[in-house]
Amino acid sequence: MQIFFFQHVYLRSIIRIRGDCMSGLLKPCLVSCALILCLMVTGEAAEYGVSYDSTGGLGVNYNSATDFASRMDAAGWYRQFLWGNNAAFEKDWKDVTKGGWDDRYADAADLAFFEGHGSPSGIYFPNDCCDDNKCSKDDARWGDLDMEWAAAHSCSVLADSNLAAWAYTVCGNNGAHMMCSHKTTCYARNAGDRWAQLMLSGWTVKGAWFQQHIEKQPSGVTARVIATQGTANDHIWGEGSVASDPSPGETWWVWTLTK
Amino acid sequence: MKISGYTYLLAGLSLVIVACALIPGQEPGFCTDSSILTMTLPEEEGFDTTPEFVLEARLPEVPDALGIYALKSPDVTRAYAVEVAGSKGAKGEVQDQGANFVILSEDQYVSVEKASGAETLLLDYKNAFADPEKGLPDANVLKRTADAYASQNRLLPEGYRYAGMSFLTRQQLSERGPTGQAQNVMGIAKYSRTLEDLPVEGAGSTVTVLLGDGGQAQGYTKVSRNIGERMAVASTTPGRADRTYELLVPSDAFNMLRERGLTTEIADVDKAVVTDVHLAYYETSGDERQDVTEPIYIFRGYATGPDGEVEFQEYMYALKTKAASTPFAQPDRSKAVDRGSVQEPGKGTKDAESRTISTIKPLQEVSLTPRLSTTPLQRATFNPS
Repeated sequence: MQIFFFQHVYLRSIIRIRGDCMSGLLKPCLVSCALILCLMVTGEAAEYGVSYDSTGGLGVNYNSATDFASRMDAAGWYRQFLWGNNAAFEKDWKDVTKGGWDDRYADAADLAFFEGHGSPSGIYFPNDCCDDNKCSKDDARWGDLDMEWAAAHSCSVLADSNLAAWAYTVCGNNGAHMMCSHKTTCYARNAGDRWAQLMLSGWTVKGAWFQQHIEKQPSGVTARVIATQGTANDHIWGEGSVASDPSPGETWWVWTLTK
Repeated sequence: MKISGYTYLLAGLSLVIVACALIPGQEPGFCTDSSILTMTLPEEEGFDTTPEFVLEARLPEVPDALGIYALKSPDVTRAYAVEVAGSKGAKGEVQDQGANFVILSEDQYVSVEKASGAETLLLDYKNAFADPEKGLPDANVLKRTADAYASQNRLLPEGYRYAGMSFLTRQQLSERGPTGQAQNVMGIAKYSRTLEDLPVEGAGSTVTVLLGDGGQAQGYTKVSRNIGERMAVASTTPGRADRTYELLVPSDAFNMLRERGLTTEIADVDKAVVTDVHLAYYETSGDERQDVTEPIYIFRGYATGPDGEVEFQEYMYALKTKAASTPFAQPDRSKAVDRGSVQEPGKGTKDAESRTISTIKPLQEVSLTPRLSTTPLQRATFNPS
């Protein structure tokens, strides 16, 4: 996180100083102030995490996950985790109170991205070594620690059947801002690269999700985003406005786009 | 003059060769060289199942021969991207962002994919897909606006036709699920094309116009490669052209679907009812290179089981040589990350103070180096000027 903060505050300060052509004495003074400010806010977090399954013909998921990571890295985000296939565990996304360790992984990141198989009842991991291979709506409690935005580029996680559970039980009552996925079966594409690119260009999290959907999925595939009215227009940290954490009991909404 | 025995032998052989040449040749077989058939179909991310299949659709008539066509993409350079943006009135610094060129200004976003020339343009992109303040007019008005926008910006190559309007909707959620009526918050006018009277399906061969607040056009996405020469044909009868690939008849394609199964979003599927079977061509999304398009079968229907009922759509290669082969093998990445060698990260913390970052305006001049070199980011700089 320090790297991220350094780039966004300290370098900005230097740039402004350079641009303003300030005097030789004032410049180092202001640079020092920027450094002090930087140190004061050390520990601030803008982390991302990625899990993926690229087995069984889903090789493009590897590109989607790692290209997403490359772009977030390049923008100065801190990589909390990037696990694939045999190294991606369900427990990474499962709440710590349910026997998982999301306090070090999915819920320790602001932005968590899963790329792999899914169903209305959960997301699936190729390795069932540690517990089981499905992080279900009953396992996940996101946002009680750090997570703001979750995305599962997976089939039908946000189908009607468990939509309310993902909204209220998993996200809303715990502090997460938004979840992006699909209502229907979707096709394996390099969604992560484009989603990250758009978000880092200033698009909202929701807008970027729908735009990559329009570009990459064939007609008939339906993408969905759930959020509150307040968090629906969140940008990622550093790219625009971010709403406060939703309160427990706040009303959630679903946005649906069929290409 | 004495003629040697060898001369008689040579003369005899020559006669045999000439006779073989004059006798009508047997009908040639199907082409087996699949080197030009580079098109690949995408995988789905659901459950693989092999339920009992029921056919409730009429199988399509198969044309005598269908072409296999080259697809042409422009050579996308920085200058090309500038030209595309300029033709739509967009200006700004061009950024090479690896897979595409991006032209960004304060309120306008243009990207051009290097692999295909696919274009995206969005006005007010920082608020794209937001709920409208003025609402949306009805679909007929939206269509007229989209038609006018497409015409004005010359978005539709020859052969494209209006293919319908879909909507981004918003609906409230109760503790039991979606409640109340879904409201349309954005219109998406779609245009597509046909080839040999068959639809071209997939993420490509589509132009979409986005219609936002008050029904105003907010931008478009265009994924459309030029269709080039007919390289070969697909037919159920051999010898239709120099290169003729065997086309599966619909009943054989359906039998292959039964053997292969399908991918659905529910794990337990007992029965799959096919309600539509048709031939189509396929064009993929703009981020991938595609040089050839060939016929495919598309099966649509619904699958049922203890977990409920879901609609499905299955793509299948229509060329026998490809349908019979194993699916396109992606490289095995199963050991891409060695977890054992990585130190466990620390516990996360709530980052209320991060919000200060969100109030900071975009960087004016910072070069960033990617830590992971999977995607070459040529320039990750931002300069809105």
